[in-house]
Amino acid sequence: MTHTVLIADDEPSVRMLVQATIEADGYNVLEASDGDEAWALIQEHRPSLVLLDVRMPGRTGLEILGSIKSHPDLVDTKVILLTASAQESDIDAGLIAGADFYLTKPFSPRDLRSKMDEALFL
Amino acid sequence: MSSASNVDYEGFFNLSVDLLCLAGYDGYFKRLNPAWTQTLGFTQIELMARPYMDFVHPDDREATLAEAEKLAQGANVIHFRNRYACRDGSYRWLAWSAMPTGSDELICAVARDVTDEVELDRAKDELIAMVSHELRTPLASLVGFSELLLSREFTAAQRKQYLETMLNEGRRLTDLINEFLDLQRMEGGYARLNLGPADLPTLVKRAVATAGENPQTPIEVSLPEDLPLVVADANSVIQVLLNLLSNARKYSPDGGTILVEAKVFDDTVEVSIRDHGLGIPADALPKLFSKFYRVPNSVRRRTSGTGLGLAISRKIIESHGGRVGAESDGLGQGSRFYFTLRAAEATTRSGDVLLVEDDVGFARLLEAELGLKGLSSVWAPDAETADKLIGQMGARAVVLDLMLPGASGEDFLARLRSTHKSKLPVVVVTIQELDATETLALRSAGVVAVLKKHSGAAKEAAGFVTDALTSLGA
Repeated sequence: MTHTVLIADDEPSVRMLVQATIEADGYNVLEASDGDEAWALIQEHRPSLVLLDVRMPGRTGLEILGSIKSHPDLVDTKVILLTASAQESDIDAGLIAGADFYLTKPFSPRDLRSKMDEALFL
Repeated sequence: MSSASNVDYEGFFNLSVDLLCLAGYDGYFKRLNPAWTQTLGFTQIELMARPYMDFVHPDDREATLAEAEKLAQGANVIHFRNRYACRDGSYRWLAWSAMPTGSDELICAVARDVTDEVELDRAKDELIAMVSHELRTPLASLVGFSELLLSREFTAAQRKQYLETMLNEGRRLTDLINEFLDLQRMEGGYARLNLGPADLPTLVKRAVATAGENPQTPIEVSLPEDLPLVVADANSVIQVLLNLLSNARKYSPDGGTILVEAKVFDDTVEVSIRDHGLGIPADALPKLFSKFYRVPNSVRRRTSGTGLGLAISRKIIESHGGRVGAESDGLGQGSRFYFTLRAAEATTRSGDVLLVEDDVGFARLLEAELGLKGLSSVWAPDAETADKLIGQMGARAVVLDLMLPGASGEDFLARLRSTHKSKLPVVVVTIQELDATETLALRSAGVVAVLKKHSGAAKEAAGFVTDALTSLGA
């Protein structure tokens, strides 16, 4: 089964990096450049996994995470948070809200792949 | 001996700028020094009429109670902080040291107002959080793509795209660091402005030339003929103009003319830059000039930038004593950014010697050397400003650099001799190597001395100016 993965980040370079990291893995990849677009795509396409930037225009990553976890049809969606703030309060808030993993920018593409594998296949 | 030990401690109690008090275990203040009223605004009677807990910030009451409990059990309190209410409804942070007095059921406590420290710390924390956030984003590309490129094969086209992204993000990181340091220097007051009379049209012309041409977003300059000289640090104002022009271009993705205009209001000149671009939502306008603020821009791809340009521009203009602002009728309606500068007053435009010199450091040296000879000077950073000044200031001599940003020193000299029919003595100081013909040409244009720019040249120039003025006077 081909997994659909959504990457939501307002930085085009970060979306490109994620695409480059997983291009050979055969995912169906969707991109969103802000939180509102991300939430619309999530509802429409029901991706298996979403990578959410914490700080985006529109809905923030944490808001979307909350919406996913409180939506009966989406609650099983795997979520990895991408954050540019190394503040522990943000990270804790994300994990408490039900994120599977978080990655702090700059992150290693190798780490990203292993976290994605773990979230999707374990 | 006895007089020193019997001194009245009441005096110390009343003099202290720290807040001193005796409080009872019943929860009331028993005695307070005047610093309480000075800090919080409440009178001593008001403070003693209610339990002190009434004045403690609701969020701090639990912690305060726990400290009071410690005191009741005979322990001391040190480094405890809580917020106390002021009469005007605000709160002040107090840092406490307190101890039980033992026999008479009283707590003896000293508090210091640390509100300013606390606020400074918080501002610093926020700034650090923001800076680290802004630095991490471009680093993500640099670290991520280099790891990928080292670990896997990509097509030539992909490699090129990734390397270009790394280069761009590396440049963005560099800009960010440079601009951040600029801003810190300005906020710390380390960046000194070299204010002098300046010809605004020349500054605009130089900024427009540096901005370069772009057929999609041509820059149109429309300035009134009779603009007064302004008080400005030429390079800083050009930096502001460049920032505003580059923003106007960046946020006009569909093109459109960018218009530079100026208006005179009494003793200020307002410069504005108008574009026909994306426009700015009303709620974003007040935040535009804050550090790292970026207008949320979800419709189009995010525009590159550091979020510091406008904050720097604001600092520069405010250091000039001017104002900056922005207006927009909303998204899609374009925007207008403006700043004001003071018009140069007559006093800043008069002096004995006109210095036409774009090198600020050397101009300052000349000014100092001339000052030692009892001569005042006015500094013009370019020939165009000098043209305007020469007619107004009543200068008796000119010190002239040849290599200037716009028109050259030779051009200025030619105009000085023809248009103004002036016989003013001129001393040329230049870094250029002049051959005999060039020197002769200057000499025949009435230049009294041609000096090579070196460390002692300012002193020599001042000497020649003094000699020339003396011989004229004789």
